[in-house]
Amino acid sequence: MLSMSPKTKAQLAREHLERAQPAVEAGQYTEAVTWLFASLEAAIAAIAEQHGVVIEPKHWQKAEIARQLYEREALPADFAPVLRTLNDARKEAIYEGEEPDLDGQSLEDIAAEVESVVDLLSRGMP
Amino acid sequence: MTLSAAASNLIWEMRIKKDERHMRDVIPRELYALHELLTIRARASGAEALMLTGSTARGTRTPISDLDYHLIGPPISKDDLSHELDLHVVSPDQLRIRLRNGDDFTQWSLRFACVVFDTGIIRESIQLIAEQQLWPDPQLKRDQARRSLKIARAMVASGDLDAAVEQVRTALTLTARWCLLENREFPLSRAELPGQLRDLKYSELADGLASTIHRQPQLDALARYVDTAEALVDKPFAATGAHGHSRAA
Repeated sequence: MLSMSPKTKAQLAREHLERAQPAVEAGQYTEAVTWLFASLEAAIAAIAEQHGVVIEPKHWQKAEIARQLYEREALPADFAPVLRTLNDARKEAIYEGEEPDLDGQSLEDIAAEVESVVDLLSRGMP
Repeated sequence: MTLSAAASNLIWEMRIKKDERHMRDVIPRELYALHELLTIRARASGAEALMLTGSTARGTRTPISDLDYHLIGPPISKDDLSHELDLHVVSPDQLRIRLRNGDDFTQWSLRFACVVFDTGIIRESIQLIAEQQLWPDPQLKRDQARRSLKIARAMVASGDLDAAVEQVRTALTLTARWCLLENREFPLSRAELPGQLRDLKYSELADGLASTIHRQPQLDALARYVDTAEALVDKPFAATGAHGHSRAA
């Protein structure tokens, strides 16, 4: 039986990032993009909650929320494109079993972007 | 033109017209303008074909459905279009290669999608499936299911319920598609898979998948569903058949 206290989205964002980082270093792209995506989505959800923005269930809607948060200056950059890239990449990794296309970016670059949002959350936001 | 060729052309034209009527019924009204815009853009790009695929084409949309298309031709710009659109782009050569390599998604579209327009590649590919009795490679699906189940198990353990439900749903869908292909039953849309699985006596997998589509199961239930699916993909395949008989070990 799995029983655990519900974690906050901010906690989940940090823990998912910590799972992603060794995979990024080892070049394990399936694990890396999956956990980076989960981390960034959880971080965006946490920031949205703090700003009273309702989280929608579909991934493309969450990416829209990331863009809205940027427009409201709740985020220093528009992370919608990163979310979309990671969403496509994780599906590609599972379905093709090959290194996914990251729109010309490296796994390390994307991990650094995700980490910047998670760190922002840890610092208590702008 | 021979009589049989003329009859074949007529049947194809009727199919296109029937698909056109069907699309008016199944595409949600609020998304129809998006469908028309995509069609115009695809034609203008010189694409060879466009198909409406996925649950919308089957008329089985759920609250988590996107609007899926298979475009055969060059990539087109869609940054300014709704991100509800999920566009799978392949060249004609890639389509032929994927078909011959046993990719089930390609065959799915060719069997069940609505043809928006076609300059000949779709008709040719459908004929190829029929003439050569092409069937998707179940092993490809089994490999995908294994990769996905591994991630699903870790996601459940992480305690992120939202992400876990989605990941388990994906993993169970892939497991279901593998099971059905092995049983020579072509997997339909996601919402139809539980019914297909029950017909083949995969009741536990069917219940788990239905739960992740229609409800929000808790983590302990998700862990059990992963156990069920892993037990299936990890042991040598044994077809159950519609009446529960084992056909192969």
